[in-house]
Amino acid sequence: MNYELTSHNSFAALLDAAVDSIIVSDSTGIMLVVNPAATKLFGYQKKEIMGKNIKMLMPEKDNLHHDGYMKNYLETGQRKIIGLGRETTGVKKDHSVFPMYLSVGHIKNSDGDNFVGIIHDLTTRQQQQRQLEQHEIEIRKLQEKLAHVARISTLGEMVTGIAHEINQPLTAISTYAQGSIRMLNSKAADTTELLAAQQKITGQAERAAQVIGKIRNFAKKTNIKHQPQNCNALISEVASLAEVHAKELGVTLQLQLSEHPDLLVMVDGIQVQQVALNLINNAIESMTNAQDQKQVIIRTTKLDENTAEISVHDNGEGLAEALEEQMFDAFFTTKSAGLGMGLAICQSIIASHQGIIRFRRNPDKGCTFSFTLPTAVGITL
Amino acid sequence: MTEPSVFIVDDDKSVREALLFLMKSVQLNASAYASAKEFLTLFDPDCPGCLVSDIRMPGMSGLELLQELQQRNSQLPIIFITGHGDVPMAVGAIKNGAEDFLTKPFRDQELLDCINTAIDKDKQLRSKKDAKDAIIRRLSSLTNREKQVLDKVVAGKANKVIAADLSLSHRTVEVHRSHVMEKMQARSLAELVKLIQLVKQEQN
Repeated sequence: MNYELTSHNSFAALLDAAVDSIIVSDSTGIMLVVNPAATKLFGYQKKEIMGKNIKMLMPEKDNLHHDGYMKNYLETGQRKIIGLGRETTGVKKDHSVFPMYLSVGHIKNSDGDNFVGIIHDLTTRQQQQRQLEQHEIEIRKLQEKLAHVARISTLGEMVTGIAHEINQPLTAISTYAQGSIRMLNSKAADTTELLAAQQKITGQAERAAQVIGKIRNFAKKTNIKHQPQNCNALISEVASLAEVHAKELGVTLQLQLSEHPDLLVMVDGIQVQQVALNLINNAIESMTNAQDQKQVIIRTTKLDENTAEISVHDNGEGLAEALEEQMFDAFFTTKSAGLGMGLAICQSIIASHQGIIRFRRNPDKGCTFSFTLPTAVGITL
Repeated sequence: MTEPSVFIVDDDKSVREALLFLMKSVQLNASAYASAKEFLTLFDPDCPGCLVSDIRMPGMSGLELLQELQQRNSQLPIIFITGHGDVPMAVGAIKNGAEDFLTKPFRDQELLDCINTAIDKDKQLRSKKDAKDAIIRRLSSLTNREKQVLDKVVAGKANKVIAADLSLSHRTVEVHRSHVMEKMQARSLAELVKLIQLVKQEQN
């Protein structure tokens, strides 16, 4: 078949008009037809590539194998790309590599085997995809930052309780130390008793350090990372932090942990603790004016194979019905000093874990907030 | 008399134990309680000393404990130690009759000074109360007639006037009067008046 002749018919017009690059080569890879879109895409003049091997348009890793592919296909009919399509890369005249979608067809005619390649430039699409990914990364970073700010703000609201929690061991330490000095000065020093006092001091220093450690862990900046976490352990740990706030306001916390001690959830631990702490603190604060026993019940439940639920139940004042719809909105708050970001952030965190955060009025008194988390099915720690 | 004792009330075990240790280092008797309730159930109003209590505790707070003791007519001095050392709270505590107010952690000397002052005050209050109780005991030993005579003597009336008021002989009034002086253990009229005033003052 004489391709030159076809330039005068509709086939040539089609080649000229095509947006995608079309290249026809023979079985050895010599280019017989190159349409304008192809020369433009690869940055060559038509005369620079006509009659040359198509390998010049491929990156090294592909062109080394190209002869082999062709030979293999012709001998065995085994397809790697021919008759199919796939995403690959091309090389321009200026040696720059770009992404493209390549589909190759086999043309059998009297002259032998020819191949037609249709190339769709993916540069723009890849750029858009990269931009989209970039945006997603930025959004995630912003969410991380926002969550971090919210955690710091939560700790800020708890500062009185935290100070108290550190002050207690400090008081014990200073009292033991001063008592020891007195005993030593009085010369009536009893070694056994002094030794016991020093051990108490060590224990109390450890207690203070643990409080600080817990807070530091909660306050640190982290990259969101979803990994299998023990649900009961996560919630117990954060409950001990909330205990600080509860004690300050005369509220007791009751933990009702799931009877599945190995219940694993696929989560970012700190973020989930942040949500739990927020809900527990809200519950504690809802009972400021309660008369009867102030109690918050924190429960972990395995709902089904794929879902765990954490709920926080209070017997406080509840929430006016009219406010229910707004409570997850940003800047909505019932607290005089509140920013109104707590629940909005909780909701976005739980949504990013494919969970749902729910609110319900208790039949007797107060309300219950709960959220679901995906379990880490089939993963063992 | 029983030795004075320091009663420690704090919900934090480590603080309680540390305070017991400090008291021991200065040879002060002390006992510790985990809650206001626990202290109240074991409370003996006849035990001298002072109370060192935390303010914020689950259940009954330190301030509520103070009120409860006042309701029971106890004058046991209370020193509050608290981690939440805000000024309004301190003022409130002192106004309500607390002896002192210290913020945790405190300097041991400061606390021991407060404790010593409080124990001294308790001692004085107790001896005052003992004296008053003695006068009241003596008063209750008087007969009705003697009481009538006493009232008039203290009001400054002469025996003659009293005799006329009560339609008694001068001699009878003199006998009652000498019984009153004897039973009240007063050596002079001035002393008798002082004793009666002491009881009346307290009752007011």
